[in-house]
Amino acid sequence: MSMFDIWSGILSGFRVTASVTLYGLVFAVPFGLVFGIAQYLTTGFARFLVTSTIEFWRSSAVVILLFVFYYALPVVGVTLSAMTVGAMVLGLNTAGYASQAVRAGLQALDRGQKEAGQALGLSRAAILLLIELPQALLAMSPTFINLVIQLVKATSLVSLITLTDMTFRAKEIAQIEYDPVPVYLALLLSYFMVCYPIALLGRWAERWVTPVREAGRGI
Amino acid sequence: MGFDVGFALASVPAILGAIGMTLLVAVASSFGAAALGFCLEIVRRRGGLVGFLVRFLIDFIRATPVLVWLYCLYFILPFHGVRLSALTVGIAGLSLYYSGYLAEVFKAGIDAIARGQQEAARALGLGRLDTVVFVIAPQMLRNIAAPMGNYFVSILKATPYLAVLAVPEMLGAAFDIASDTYRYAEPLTVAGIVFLALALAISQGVRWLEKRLAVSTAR
Amino acid sequence: MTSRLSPRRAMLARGLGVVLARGLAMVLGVAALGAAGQAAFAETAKDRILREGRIVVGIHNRAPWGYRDEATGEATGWHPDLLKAAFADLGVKEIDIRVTEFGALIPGLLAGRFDVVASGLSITPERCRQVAFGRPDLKELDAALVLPGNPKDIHGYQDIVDNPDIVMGAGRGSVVVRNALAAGVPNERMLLFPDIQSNVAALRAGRVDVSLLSLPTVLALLKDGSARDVERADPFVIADEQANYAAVAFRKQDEDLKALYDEKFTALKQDGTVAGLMKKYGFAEDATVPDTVTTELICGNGKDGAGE
Repeated sequence: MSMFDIWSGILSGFRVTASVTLYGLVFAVPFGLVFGIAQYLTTGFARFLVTSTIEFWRSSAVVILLFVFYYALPVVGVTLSAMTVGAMVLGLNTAGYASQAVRAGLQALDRGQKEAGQALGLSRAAILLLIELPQALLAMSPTFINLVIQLVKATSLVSLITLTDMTFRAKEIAQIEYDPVPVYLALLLSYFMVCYPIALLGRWAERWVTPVREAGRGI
Repeated sequence: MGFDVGFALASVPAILGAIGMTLLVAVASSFGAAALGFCLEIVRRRGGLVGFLVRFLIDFIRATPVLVWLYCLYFILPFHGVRLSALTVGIAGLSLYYSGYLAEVFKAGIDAIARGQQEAARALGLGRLDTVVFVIAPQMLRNIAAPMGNYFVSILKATPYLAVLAVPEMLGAAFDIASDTYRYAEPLTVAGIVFLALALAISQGVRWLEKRLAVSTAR
Repeated sequence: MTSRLSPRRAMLARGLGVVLARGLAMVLGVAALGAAGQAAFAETAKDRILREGRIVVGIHNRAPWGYRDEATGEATGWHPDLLKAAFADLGVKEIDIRVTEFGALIPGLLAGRFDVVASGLSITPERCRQVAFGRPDLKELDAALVLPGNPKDIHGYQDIVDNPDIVMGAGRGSVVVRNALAAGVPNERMLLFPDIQSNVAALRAGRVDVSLLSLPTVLALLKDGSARDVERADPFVIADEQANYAAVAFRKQDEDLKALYDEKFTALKQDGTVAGLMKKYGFAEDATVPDTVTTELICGNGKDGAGE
């Protein structure tokens, strides 16, 4: 097999890698926002419930969750496609991390922001949506970009639940190829080519938001 | 076939029995990653061609999935006649991978210490080594305790990947039961729960340590 | 709205729309499934397969058993070919493959991830308790891969048992583990691997001294060149009663599908199609399953393990 065959073989799995990432974001973005805001606003028992949900998705080992959702849920009558399982588990895991960034961003804002909004007679929701969230999300944008990279990298795990992503294709090729070296090096490079541009974007964002960056300490 | 609670309970001891292996891998990899990460950061700081290469290596590691690194080491090393046990390969892989992250943590920690500290120490007549050991290191450790603790938890959560290399940690133990009985649902769910409990306990411990450090060195 | 966008942007917007729509469907679907439960399971697998003309098969991507042909991307191998031949005149043209680890084949089948396992699974009494096997279609013996020159001089399970320095590698959940345990190889001298590739890599790395596999697998590995630096332990003596018999595996509730397959398989055996396929995959004459060997017999007690 030539180097070209190896590359094109691995890249034929890119579609699945990209799909899991994108569908994963469909889970990660809304749930990250909702969890984060909920943890910021709630108190007492409600906050405990929100925190427990976040901790479940954040602290579980994703690879075990993938297996459990893929093999154990059908046993109790819930059969989700491999793609859905991958997107949901990886997406909600990312959402768990993102929620912490959202909450920390909100908490780090100066109290005066909220008070100014109240002085203007804005409702709590309006203060959150118009004043607090935009600042918090902007300040946290480097963290979010970092999480996207983590998500892309985590998609390599879906190869363990029968999805033919780039990692899976590489393993397939390595099975019929005597020399594993070019196969796995090509695979590493493939991920690098996807993730490094995102990392550069993240660095650019970091420089851009540096003035508000202090707000992001502690996550 | 349904979820057999009795069978799930019966699989608990075997999975708990593998907790030692999980912890061994996590602790050894954490030390390895911290030591290697510190070395990488020191070399990177010196600059020059070697510094540039190390910088690239760190960026490269951070843009590629840990699973692929494990596959790489596992399949490529024996191809070049390097014969290591799967456990060694796994610990080496996790150490190498997370050293890329810890190098960044050390970078931030060292950057945060004002240059003046170093100059003051020199002015007091402290040697280079003394300066590092008694002035820089203690302050740096305080600064980086939180992010470092978070990465140790990340390493713990990455230990189940070693199951794909046939290392008998908790997920591996669950698979052993699963392959004997052809039932995936119960042992995997048990492994997931035990793992979640372990991860929560350890991250609580890390948080507690963090708080203590913050109190003892209140700014 | 989209008419004002440039074509490229419109395409991008549409693409994004599709992702969002499908993703939302996923999110909602996940929520709905919790409520819907098993309502969708009314149709039997057999009816669905015949209606759609498509069967989903689980394989572990290993020649000669069941694997993806790199050139065409199609399912091929001993068992997929048998299935194709058996169901072709019923209008089932599409063999949809799900590649998984060997040890996950039966759990995947039980979890409804595929309709059948067509990947060289051997019939064992333990497996019979979980799944329903079709007619046995191939007799296979265990074989071993060792480092060049067979440095530990391994020619049978007894050699492994007798030498406490030998560590044996096998596929997690594979049938050789059963034979090895029966022969007396202790658990702690066995390393179990998720796939053959890591098993062979471990042998090459000296992590194990011998890799136990089925003979057809060993021959295929040596043939396609992916297992250089290692060789077959020749001879590897194995008793005839330790022979395994491979078959297609079905879910127990899909008895109708299994019956249909069995009927077709018997016909294929009579008209020589099976013998032709055996030739195609290089299986020797003596791998033919004698008519006296039946699934019920191997499962034990002729009960197919049912009711246990």
